[in-house]
Amino acid sequence: MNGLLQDLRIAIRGLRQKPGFALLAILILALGSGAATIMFTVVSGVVLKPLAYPDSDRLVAVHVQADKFGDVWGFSYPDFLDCLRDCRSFEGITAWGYSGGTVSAPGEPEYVTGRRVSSELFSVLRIQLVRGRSFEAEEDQFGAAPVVIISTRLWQQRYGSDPHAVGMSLNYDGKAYTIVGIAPPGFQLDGVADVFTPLGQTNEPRMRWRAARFLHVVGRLHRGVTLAQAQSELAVLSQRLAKAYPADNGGITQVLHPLQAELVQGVKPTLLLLLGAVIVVLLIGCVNVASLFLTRVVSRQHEFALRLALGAPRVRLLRQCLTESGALGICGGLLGLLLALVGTHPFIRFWPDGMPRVEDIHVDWRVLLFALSASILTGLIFGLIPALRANNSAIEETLRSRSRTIAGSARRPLSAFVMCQIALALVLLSAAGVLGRTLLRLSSLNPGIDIRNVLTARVGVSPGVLSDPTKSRADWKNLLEDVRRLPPVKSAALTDIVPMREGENTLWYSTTATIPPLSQAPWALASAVTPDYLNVMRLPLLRGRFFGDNDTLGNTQVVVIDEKLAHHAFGAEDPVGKLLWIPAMGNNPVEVVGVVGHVRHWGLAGDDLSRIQDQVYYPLAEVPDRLVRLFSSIISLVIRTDVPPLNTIQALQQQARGAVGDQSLYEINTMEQLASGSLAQQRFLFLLFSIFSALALLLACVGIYSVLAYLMSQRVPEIGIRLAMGANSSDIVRLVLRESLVIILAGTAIGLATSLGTGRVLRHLVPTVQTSQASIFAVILPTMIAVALFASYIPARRAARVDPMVALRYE
Amino acid sequence: MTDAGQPLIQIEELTKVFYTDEVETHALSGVHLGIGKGEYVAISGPSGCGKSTLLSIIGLLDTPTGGKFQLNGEPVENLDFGARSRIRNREIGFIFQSFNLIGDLTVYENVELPLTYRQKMPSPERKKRVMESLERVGMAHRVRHYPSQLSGGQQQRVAVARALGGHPSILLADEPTGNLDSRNGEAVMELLQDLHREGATICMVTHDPRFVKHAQREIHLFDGKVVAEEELHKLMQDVHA
Repeated sequence: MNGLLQDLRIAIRGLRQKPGFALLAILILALGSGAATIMFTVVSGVVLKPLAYPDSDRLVAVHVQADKFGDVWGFSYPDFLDCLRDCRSFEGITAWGYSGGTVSAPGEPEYVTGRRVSSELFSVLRIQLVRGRSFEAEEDQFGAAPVVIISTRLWQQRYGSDPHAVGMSLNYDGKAYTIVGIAPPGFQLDGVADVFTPLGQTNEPRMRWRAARFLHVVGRLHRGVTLAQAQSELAVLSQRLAKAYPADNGGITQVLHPLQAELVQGVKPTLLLLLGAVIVVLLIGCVNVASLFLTRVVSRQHEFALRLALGAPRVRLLRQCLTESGALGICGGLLGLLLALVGTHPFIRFWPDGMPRVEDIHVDWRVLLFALSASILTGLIFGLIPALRANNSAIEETLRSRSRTIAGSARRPLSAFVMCQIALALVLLSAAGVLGRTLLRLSSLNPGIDIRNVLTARVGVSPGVLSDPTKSRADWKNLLEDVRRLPPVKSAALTDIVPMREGENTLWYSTTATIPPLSQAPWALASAVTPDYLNVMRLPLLRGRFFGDNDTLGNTQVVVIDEKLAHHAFGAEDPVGKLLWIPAMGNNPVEVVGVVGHVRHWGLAGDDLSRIQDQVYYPLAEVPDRLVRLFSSIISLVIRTDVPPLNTIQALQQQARGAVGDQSLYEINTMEQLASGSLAQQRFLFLLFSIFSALALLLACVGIYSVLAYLMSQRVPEIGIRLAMGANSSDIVRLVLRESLVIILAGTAIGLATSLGTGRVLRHLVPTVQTSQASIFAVILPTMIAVALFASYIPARRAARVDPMVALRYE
Repeated sequence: MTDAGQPLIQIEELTKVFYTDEVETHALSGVHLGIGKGEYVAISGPSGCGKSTLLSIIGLLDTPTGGKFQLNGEPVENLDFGARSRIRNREIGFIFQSFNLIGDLTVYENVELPLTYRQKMPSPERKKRVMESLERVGMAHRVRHYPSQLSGGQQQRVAVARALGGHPSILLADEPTGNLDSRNGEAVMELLQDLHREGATICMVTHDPRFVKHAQREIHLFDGKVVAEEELHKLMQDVHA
């Protein structure tokens, strides 16, 4: 222990004597380990840490898998009830769906997001409410007294955290609810929600329809029941349901996933990719410091030889070197940890579309352990090779040597370090290049509509009209008329879904009266729209007509399809006048009256990857009365303006307040924002990889510079000889650059081969990446070589300025 | 290496002052010197008398602070770095005390080195000159060896071959036997003697009186000045006293 302390004292003294070296090394390591610790903090909080619910390893998400479309759907309510009744593997099982509405009392009207949840939700998740209780089973039925659980935010904002808020009334979506509980702060169910109402009270037709798979189902397995056992039980239930309801459940299986994996599946590949990238940066930092450290060790070889000559055991010297590198590693690690403490939350804020489990992301023992291990490991990585080298030098030869020229054997590890840095930097550069190229390609895609000067907003329909379909329809009409009166508005329309925004409505169709089972039928994305939608979006009308004012309930049901559906359903035939059978729209066939262009509804990046490509439009006026309330809760306004659309927001909000003034617009975006947002993840990845690769390139250049500067300082006598032999400055510059180029090219070749491998990983983790790497390499290879040569030029130039007299005096 | 007797080097009132931390050191103070073509001159004197400084200036490795210096009748004291490099490469062959061979280059490559800086010299010509030089010093059989694989004497012979390869006007030897044992030292001196007999102009710095006798003429330096032999002895006695 004493020996170790002595080594530490010597190490600290040695580093204090070379403050520039120590500072540079610590800074490089801090940058690398800081970035790695930030990413690990996020990965630990999101991916590795168990969910905050008690015994969360027993929580599973239950999905529906169709033969044709894979694992894509939620549950229907009847299927959920069957599962709830028959599955014995679960200690509890719960379902929930999205909702939202206007809270009009107490306080000002405000649209809030909500969730419809089955009564078991809080018990399955084992969540303690702040106040009150969860829903009773009898409250989770149609006709029961309206009860609500509100969020802590709403409790604080609307009730001033009144401890007696439970039992008070909340006017939500035109209905008075009694508050029975307050959800804990930060509680999320796929995002923040303010209002939780019992799912079973919903009186929508889709609640009775097995084909309407709109519910998320979460179960808690009995203790001791494995995922496979529960899966087997679900398989039996699936078969039974398929037999009983072949049209809706044929070819459909219910499958389980651990809830944690389910929650983070969207971000996990990106996080792992970024963690990999920062580890590469950290490795470059390590190699960089290793080369600095090696130059220091080489310059201390005489000292080491002397120590050995005085009887120091080799292991002691090894320990001394490693103590020094370990001390540097730990200093860098501590500084990196500080960076992580400061930088993690700003990083999360920049994450596009919101990071899941944000509340679980913080520096804890896992992160501390990671930072400590990373520090020690990096210290060992960059210290070991130089330490071994210092230890293997021949004592007598070193002591007798007067020459400052270092032999090739000492140059080789330094050159290898430079090659490693170049190779690793190239890997990151090529990844950034591929991501940039992908982003460029996706940005240039035609969204299928004219996204300029279009504003979209969800409508929080006046709660007073919700229960009456006639009043609701009148309200829709009035809204459009009011909005059209605004001078900058050229056209306005209503729709249930907006391209490139969250929210979808899919249904299956058939070209014959014999409708195949749901799992075998083709599916299409359906949009209910008003006639002016064509003008607002400037949808290209390829054949036939779009909707008119006469396309209403009672007349022939008509649809307009997109070119993809036209091709899939009718091939080369003209679809106009043809019939489609769409069970969700009734038993009678609907007539195709027009064909429009395909719209990249799933986003510029996501549309090609979507399994549902066909699109169908139908008039909003054809929505039956029983569905009007549902559509009122999801309806959006889209307008085309002749001025920048964001300038119209205030006037628009004023104009859309409705007759009573309790109607509101929310989630207001331009179509350009939505289109840009659909590439947010790609842009974010590209930005981070650009930063990482720039950092890697900078570190590699620092590495090249420091190694070459050191090698040149060791080659002063040789340069002196060359100058004495008649070499001029440019000969020396050429010599250094030529030697440097060999190292750069070797590093580039290694990096090229590695990049080809990592390109496959990138394509696997980011499915939108399809770009060939050849064109990327055509750009980054010359750039990399030029930058590296520039880094070499400075020491080369300095070498060329060596005074031959001074150089020869070294001898 | 012809035109024996014609002045090759003409130095007048040459001075060299080094400035370090406000201290002014006069390494050379008004040196007059002439070396004719084909001459073999030894510069001797005690340590610190300015021998090596003078040799460096003659070899255009360093520039004088004052005075005149003509090489082959051309003034060279005020040339820029590039011009001095060119002249060094073509006119001057160096032989150093510590051989100054480059460890990572083979014997052949070391000898070829000055020729590689002559851009217009074709490769066959270079090869011919390298082999001739190596044969001249008896090292042609070691072309692929590295300096570390040779003895000190052999290394110095390679250094001589390197100096000869460029067909220089003058060979400058700075203590060429300083790192050699007496047998190898003698062999190198004999080699220089032979080269002189063949017409080479040689200027050698040495403080070893055994090797001064090989030169035709001896120039004594003391405190940066050229002095006569008798005066040198007197000055040395004064110093010892």
